[in-house]
Amino acid sequence: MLTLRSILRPTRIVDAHCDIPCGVYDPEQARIEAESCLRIIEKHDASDDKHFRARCIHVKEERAELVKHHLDVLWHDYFKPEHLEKYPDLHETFWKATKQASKVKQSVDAGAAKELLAMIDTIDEMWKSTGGPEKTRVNGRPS
Amino acid sequence: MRLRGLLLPLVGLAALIGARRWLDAVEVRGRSMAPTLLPGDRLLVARLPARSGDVVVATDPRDPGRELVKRVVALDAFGVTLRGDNPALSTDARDFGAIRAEDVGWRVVGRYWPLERAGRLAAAPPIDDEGGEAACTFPNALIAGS
Repeated sequence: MLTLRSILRPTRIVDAHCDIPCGVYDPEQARIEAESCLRIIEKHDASDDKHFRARCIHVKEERAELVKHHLDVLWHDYFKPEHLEKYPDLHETFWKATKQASKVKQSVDAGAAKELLAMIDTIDEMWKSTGGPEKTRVNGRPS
Repeated sequence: MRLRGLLLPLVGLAALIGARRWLDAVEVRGRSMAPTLLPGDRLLVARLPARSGDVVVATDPRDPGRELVKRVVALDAFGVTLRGDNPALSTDARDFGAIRAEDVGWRVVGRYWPLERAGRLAAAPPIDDEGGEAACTFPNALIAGS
């Protein structure tokens, strides 16, 4: 028999949901990995030890891959359509920076690594001017 | 005012007895539709076509086993664009793009529980993508007062 209670009972749950990203986005993460690439390239160039040089290349490729990953996360998770209105070249900037990270991964060119750092700094400016530090950093972090 | 608010849910409940296929009751989980909808709200939903501005129940394009409750902000050649009324706490078209019209199965016709907020839903609040703080504090205050 139908009771009022059974009629009132919802048949299912509907989600007014949010994926709950951690909300912490910071270009510094990409910057530190890119600095690693530059330093490793310098150490590689200064060494005559072929085993050490091989290790340098291996580690640098890992670090460069991390740069790409961190830039990708910033690109699709932090930046929103309204930021694109402020920076119409946002996609172009990220596209070029991630391509530059590939270049650093493939080569031992210190110049390419420095260029990558400059590109990350451009992204850092976009992040700062869209309120990135206030919105995504945990309060009380030492500067 | 109070009676008018109750009329819609009562008519809906009467109809529910007969036809769950066309009219159904659902419960809200999550805060992405705050302050319009709060977790635990119970809604009457009907098999009606979505219009712009409606709150609808749609299949999650990324997980067909889940249903979302969101507001329609655009209906066009790209499909149906859904947004949460609380953008700071919502995963919606900004993440998954427009969805197909056939994935929007139900229109929310009103809330029947809690009784003091029963009736039609409010229109969309002005979108504040930058902060979303205002939209977040309102439901908390409401819960504290109830």
